[in-house]
Amino acid sequence: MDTILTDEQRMLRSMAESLTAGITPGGQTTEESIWSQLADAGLIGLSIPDVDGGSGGSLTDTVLVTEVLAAASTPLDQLWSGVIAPALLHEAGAGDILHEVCSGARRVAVALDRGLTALGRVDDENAIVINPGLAREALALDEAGRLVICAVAPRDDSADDQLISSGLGNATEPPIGTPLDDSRLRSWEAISLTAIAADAVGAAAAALALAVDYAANRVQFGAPIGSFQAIAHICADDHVSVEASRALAWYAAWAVASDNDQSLQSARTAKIHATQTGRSVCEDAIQVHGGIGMTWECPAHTHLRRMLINSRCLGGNDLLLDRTADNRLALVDS
Amino acid sequence: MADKLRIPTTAPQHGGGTAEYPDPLPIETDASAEAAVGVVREWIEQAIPAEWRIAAEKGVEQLREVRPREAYEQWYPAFASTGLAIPQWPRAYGGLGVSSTTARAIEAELAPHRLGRLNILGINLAGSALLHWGTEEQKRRYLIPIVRNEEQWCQLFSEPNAGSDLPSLAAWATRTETGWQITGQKVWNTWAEKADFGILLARTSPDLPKREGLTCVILPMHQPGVEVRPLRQLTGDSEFNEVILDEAQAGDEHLLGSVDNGWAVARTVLSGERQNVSGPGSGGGLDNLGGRSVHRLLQRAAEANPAGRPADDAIWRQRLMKLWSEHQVMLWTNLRVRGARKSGREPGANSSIGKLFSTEHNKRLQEAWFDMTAMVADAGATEEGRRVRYGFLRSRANTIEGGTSQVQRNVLGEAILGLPREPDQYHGASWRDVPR
Repeated sequence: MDTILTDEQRMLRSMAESLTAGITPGGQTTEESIWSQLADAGLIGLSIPDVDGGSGGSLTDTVLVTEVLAAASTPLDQLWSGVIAPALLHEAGAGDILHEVCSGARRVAVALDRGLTALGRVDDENAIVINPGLAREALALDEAGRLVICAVAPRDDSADDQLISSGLGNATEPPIGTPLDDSRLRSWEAISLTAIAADAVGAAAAALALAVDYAANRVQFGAPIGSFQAIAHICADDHVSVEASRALAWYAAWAVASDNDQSLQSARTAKIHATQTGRSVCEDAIQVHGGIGMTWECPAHTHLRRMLINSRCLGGNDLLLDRTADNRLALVDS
Repeated sequence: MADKLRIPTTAPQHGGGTAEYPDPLPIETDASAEAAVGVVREWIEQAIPAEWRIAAEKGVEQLREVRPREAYEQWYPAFASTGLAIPQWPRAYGGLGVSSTTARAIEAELAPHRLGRLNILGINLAGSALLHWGTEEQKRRYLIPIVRNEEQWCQLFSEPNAGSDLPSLAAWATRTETGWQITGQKVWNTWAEKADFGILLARTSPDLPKREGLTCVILPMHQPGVEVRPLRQLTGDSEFNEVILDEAQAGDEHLLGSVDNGWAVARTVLSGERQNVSGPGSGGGLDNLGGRSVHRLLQRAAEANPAGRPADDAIWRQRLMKLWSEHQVMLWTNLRVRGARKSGREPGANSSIGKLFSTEHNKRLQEAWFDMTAMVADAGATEEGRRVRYGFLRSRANTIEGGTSQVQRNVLGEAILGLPREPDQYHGASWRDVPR
């Protein structure tokens, strides 16, 4: 099934896999060291051109790496601070800051509106910083539509949910470049949706792998439960879902990079499918594990949590399907 | 260059294998995509009638007017003998032996001219099995007539008592002085009524376990021991047959693979079959799921309607877009499987992914068509209503034919995910001792 990957892409993927080999799902102690390893390997700003400080890879490269990192439960801020924020800085034409971000020296998160559907505004007191991780700064738009970098309150380590941090502080620098027009925002949105889809593919693939491994080893009624069709068919259907989502994410990466008039739509389709079916895959993984599946100890829930965030960010499925309908039905109208 | 191509000015007589056909195009097996495309362009100019080329640009309907099916079938053997129909097959067997990259480039160059492959069963079922298991003599005897659409093939696997449990089949091949004699009953045999050969699976060693005593036979269909009867489906159509074998004869030269190795051969054929499936309205000879396409559904939803347009209805919009997204999944999943196939690898169990997804999708799609026409048209009385009802009914078979969805899931679970096999109390038992 991987025939469309080049040798370089296969190598890139195995490099990312070996990098993540030491990461334990749900672990937090290694956050800082993971970040510097990712930066050293050139995986922060992977698809940003060399001249802007990135690694000059393709969006397909980013999709492949993001799948691997998500599957290994690498902290989700890799997606936001390592892919989505650099893409936004690149669209805004940020020179030095982008270099600093790609080198790993500076970590910048992204602010969204309260509904998590679009880029946050500086003057919106309800803006939410998504997955700040160790980042102390976040990107938002000012009244003129220019990109600004704001301070982010240190995260509350006692809080239940580490993934979202409310509140945006003051701007730490003057606004970057000229106002971002619709076409640049759409380009960024297409890249972001594609990357989120890839993250969802990785998380779903990892959840399925957990389920398959458990089903092959857990013995009841004198046989591994994976030999029963009631269990095996759940896994088989989920495998079809994961491969389907992967096909869409890879296609979106190609379509977005070739920047045709359907690239944003391809990214939406990939994101819808990957998060919608991905959520079922993660829930099925919990089901297949039976009693152990509902414990904190079983890592299935870490993938489900990741999927929930992914399914909400930059538009939930209802909203994206509605935008898809606007796009597709306008095409057949004419 | 032009004189080397030896393009006949008149279409050769179809059939018989004695007609003069052009040699394969002068494209080296290590030709670059660019070089190959250059030769193909020249061939297109000379060999495809100008009228066809102009009509093909305008659309399928226009092409059908100037290129009726019979005319295309008559012209096809000359086209296929250039090697362009299946460029990645070896040159000696009707292809050009080029790399998958070059083959893709050739196909892309030909695509606008809508030269759909004929003999899909011959290519996908018999072709893949012959390439993998055939002797040199068999490959030379059978593959070129398949490519040229001169000999038709069908599959003789399923039996009334051996469906999902195919390897339990009972048709029995026994040795005679001159070869083999086969007796039994086969079912679901698409195109058996016009087939020249059938790929038959028969039991040769009933004392061995069920998978170990089967042999694959190339059965000549035109003989007294073979009777083909049409089967009527719930739609009222007859797309399949049953085939009664009563002391049908075959020679040793008709064995495909060795005696009792038939199950391995069958698996090659079956993965080719799953690969055969694509989507409705997708054209290119892969139009075999039945029913109406998602593109037409969207058009229909956007048409003005006294009862209100489904395109403006919040619930319909979501349903339509889910179907449209699934259609994208299907296209890209099929492309990935096809990519693997073109690079020379067997599609293997991965083809179950495409089969499972596209058939379940098509059922949902035809259900939506049915529901929507109930909303927008007098479903019973119109031509549209009739076609939609047919699409709905026909698609019910999609998740059964070519291996049920349940069997596909077993294949995925065991062969791809590596899950343990379901406990089988008759595992390893002699076929004779298993109840049927």
